[in-house]
Amino acid sequence: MTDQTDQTYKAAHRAEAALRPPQIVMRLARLGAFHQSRLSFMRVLLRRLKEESWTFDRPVFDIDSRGVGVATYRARGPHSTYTLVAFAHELDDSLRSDRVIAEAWDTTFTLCDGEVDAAQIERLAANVPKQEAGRISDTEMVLSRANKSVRLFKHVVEALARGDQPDEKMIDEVGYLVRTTAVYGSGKFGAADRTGWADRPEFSGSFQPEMLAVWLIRTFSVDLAEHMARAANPDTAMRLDPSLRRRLGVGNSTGLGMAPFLINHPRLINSWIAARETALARVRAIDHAQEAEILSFRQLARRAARNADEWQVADERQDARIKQLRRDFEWIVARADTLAVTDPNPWDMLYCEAEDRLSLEGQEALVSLMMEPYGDIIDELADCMHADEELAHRIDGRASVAETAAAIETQYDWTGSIDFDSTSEQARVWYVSEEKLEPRLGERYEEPLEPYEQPLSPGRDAARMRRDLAAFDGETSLGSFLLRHPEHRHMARRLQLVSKLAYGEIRDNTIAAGMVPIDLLRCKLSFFGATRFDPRSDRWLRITMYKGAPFPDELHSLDPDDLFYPPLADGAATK
Amino acid sequence: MSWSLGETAALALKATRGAGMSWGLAEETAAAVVWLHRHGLPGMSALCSYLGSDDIPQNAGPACPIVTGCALIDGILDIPETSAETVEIGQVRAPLLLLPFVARLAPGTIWLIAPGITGPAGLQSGDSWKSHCLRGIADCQIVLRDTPQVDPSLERMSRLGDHFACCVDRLNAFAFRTYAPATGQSRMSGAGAGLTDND
Repeated sequence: MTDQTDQTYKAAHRAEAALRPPQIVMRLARLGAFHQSRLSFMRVLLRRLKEESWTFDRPVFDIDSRGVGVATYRARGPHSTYTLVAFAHELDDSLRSDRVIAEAWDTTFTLCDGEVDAAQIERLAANVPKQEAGRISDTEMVLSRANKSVRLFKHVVEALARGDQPDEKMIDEVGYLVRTTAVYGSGKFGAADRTGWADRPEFSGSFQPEMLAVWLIRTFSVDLAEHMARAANPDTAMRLDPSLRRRLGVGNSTGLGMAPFLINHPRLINSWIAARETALARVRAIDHAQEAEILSFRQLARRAARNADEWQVADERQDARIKQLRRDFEWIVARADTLAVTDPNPWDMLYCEAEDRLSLEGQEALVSLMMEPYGDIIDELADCMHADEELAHRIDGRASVAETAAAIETQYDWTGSIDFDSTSEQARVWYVSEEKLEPRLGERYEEPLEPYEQPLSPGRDAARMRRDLAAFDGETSLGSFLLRHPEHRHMARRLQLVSKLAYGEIRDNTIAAGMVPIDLLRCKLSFFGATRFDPRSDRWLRITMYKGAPFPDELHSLDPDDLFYPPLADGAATK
Repeated sequence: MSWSLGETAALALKATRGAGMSWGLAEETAAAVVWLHRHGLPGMSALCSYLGSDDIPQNAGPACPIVTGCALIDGILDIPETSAETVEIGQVRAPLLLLPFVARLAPGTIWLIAPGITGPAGLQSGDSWKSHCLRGIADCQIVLRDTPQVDPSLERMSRLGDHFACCVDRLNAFAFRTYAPATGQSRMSGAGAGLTDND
């Protein structure tokens, strides 16, 4: 397979500054400071749906006055049709939990390939509400569920039933009517394998079926609230004002289940990061900015600053980072005002100054922001953001022990300073729990978990392999070494794979006492396009998806890319 | 009831690891099982038989189809260079699991000869698979031919049908060994409890 990084480099022969090296980019602290950008998957999806004039309707809405029933949302594009089947349930408050240990939810969903008929809905009704305990089939692509924000949902229904619009402040504070607690795709629980649909143009990026499902879930959440309001008081009930409605996203609670993903998908992560870094390099290579681009940047900087002002979290670590980010934005906004069309290499200069002055949060926010005026040279990079992860990438067993040791020195040089025999550097164990079959993080020296350790510590494993390789003659083949040391086969494969990928490996110890798992989550979620990262502990967080984005019935008349930053108070949001 | 190939791969990986083999060998196993199913061959049955045999040695043993397969693709074992040559690779358990490794050898036309696999594979079905290639131990050879043993045109997307339910159950029992039993501490901290998740 062609190396994804090379593909990205070669896409269109554009001027590019040097890419930031992996030693700078692939650190957990920086990855955990990433922000959504033009290349985020939900923005990629909405751009495509708009460009291709997809149409949307709601063939079924069979929900009773208690809010129980089923609805379907159909999306029709030039080549294919997809249908979200949404089930609404009655849920006792005591059973409402975002944890994966939950067994019942307010709403459950599946995204189906094509149209659905009554028989399919009946089959799905027997399975989708059970989520992990049910089974879906190869005509389904995504399985998901969501719980209500009871507080906001109740308020919105009551206000609309009275004939009032809900309180704007409360809408902004919560940000969503429902939050998903899992969005499963790619063959999970019987769903269609990715290989069955990956060649469809609409799904050519990453996580596009999941992004489509969540976007339609957002519509359902509003439809459900409006329906409940009408049921409560048909005479006075009104619909949600479209501009207020747009301020509602879909919430999401994400925990450790997602954390190993970045480690387990080196090709894919490489493709994502390489695309983003290439985008940055293209912008930095621009010799002079046009007036319109500077004006656009100035305005977006102010809107992004407002976004940072509105970003509230309880988590102390993140709260301190947000406070610093707000100070960083003061500098960005002021510096944006000094940009001039006569400045040589304006974006490169801006970035270099930011590297010296801003926190990682501020630097990465700026990286995303600098891409905004340049969709014409950046958006095409989204086509490179996918990869087929092979389960067993072929190992070159003929490589010598000396070559292998040298490759470890090159790829894992950062492990040289880490003492993996110390308690703190090996403090954690990634394992899968018997109770819910989900990835967990435990304390190696406090719990009997080591026998169950998952291979999610490449740094430590590379160091161990280097130690065992030293006992072999340099001319010996890797194949012979692996015959004696089958425990290194996983690492040998990974080493040969990541040696071809600039951004395939995180250059930090993923089992150290001080490792912060939510940094892994945030990196992935920023590529989804999530905003409002709200850590609820070091292991799970809440985010909001599609906040500000158009709804299906207004996609044709709005620019989805203009809506991911909040409008300014003077209404200057729309370009 | 049917299973996606993604689920099949995940189950084969965990089951093999649960049976005591290393993660790296388990990855090779999972890829081999999926390769077989893509070609319409019962990889899960073969894996089920192999992991269920009473005396599989941990991580190795010359009769292990995975270790033997890895030795082949890693260049440790000789490969026939002419069609007149037959290379004995000794006794191998559940030889069907060796087939995906042999099929990957350059130049793509090496054949595995074992009881139950004597000619082009992928054509047999049903009862003919109740043979030594799924269970038991057999002498195996590899030879060089002019065409691939498994016709590449037979490759197709496929899912596992209901008749694999028994295998899935048995492999789930092996996979279960990779899961850590819950402790009071892990329940409290493993997933990061803390703030309420309701609002």
